[in-house]
Amino acid sequence: MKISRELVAASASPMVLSILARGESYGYAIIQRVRELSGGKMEWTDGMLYPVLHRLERRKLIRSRWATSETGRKRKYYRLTRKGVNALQRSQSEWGLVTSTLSKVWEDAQCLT
Amino acid sequence: MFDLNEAVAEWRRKLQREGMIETEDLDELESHLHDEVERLARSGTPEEEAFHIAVRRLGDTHELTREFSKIGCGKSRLTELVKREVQAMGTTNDSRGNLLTTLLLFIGFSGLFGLLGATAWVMVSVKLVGLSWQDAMQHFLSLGWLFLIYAVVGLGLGMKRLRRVERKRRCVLRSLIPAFLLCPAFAIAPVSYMVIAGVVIPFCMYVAVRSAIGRGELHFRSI
Repeated sequence: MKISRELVAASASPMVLSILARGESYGYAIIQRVRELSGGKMEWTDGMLYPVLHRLERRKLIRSRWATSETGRKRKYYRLTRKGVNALQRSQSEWGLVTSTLSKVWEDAQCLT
Repeated sequence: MFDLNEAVAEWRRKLQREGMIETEDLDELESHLHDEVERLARSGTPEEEAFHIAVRRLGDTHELTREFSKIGCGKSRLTELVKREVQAMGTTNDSRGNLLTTLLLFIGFSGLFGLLGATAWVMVSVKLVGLSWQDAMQHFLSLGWLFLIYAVVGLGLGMKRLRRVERKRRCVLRSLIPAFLLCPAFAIAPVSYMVIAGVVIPFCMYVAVRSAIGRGELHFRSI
């Protein structure tokens, strides 16, 4: 099943914030984590993640720093800020409401059919 | 024989030529590309194939550039856009259609700024320098008709072509910035041939420098 572009775009920010809530990470690792968690069903165009990260950073929800990785290459690491934690909590409530409402709507629809 | 470093450098140059992605962002994308190539190579994919897969997964050049150009808002975005456009002036090869549109818009904006500049010149000359209205208007009219032709023809044709070209914003910015920078020169030009020289010579230099850089004969570092 392929998830629609609109849904991928809408869920990108909460997804990134949630992954960063578990600790500092970098772009490539975030993409891998999304693939792993979705069982490979959620396909992002890798390059599209970076504008999302930059937007979150501009909104001060995450902070970045350059560091040298274990391979000796420079990597940009991101971590959640306090503002980001609050935004994530808000986002969790919003998505929770959306999914529970959808479930109820679909239950009603099933009763009718 | 496939050279990964050379292939990555060429991919990076291609993105850089688009002019919308900053050096730091390119570093980050390059690091991502290396990570993906390494992962694929570890799973047994030949290096060349791994490179092409990694590039495809990152997204094509236009898509990436478009997404990066959307970052930001308000004043900071405008400043960033102008900065990037000035930076990219020397590094991008545009299609002929884009170049012609940029040229027409440049002439049009030059005419428009020339008209505004000449009007300001008349006001300043009469109010502050004490020049008579008659002399000031004579000067204005000697230049005004040319500015008007430039503005009408340049903007008329340029705007018409703009609908058909791919990179609209780039064409507008690349014509607007040099025209705006040359505006003071137009305002004080004493005779009409100065206007022709003022428009044609700088633009020819701009095109020549750009094409030299596009061919790799000149290199600009980011500003």
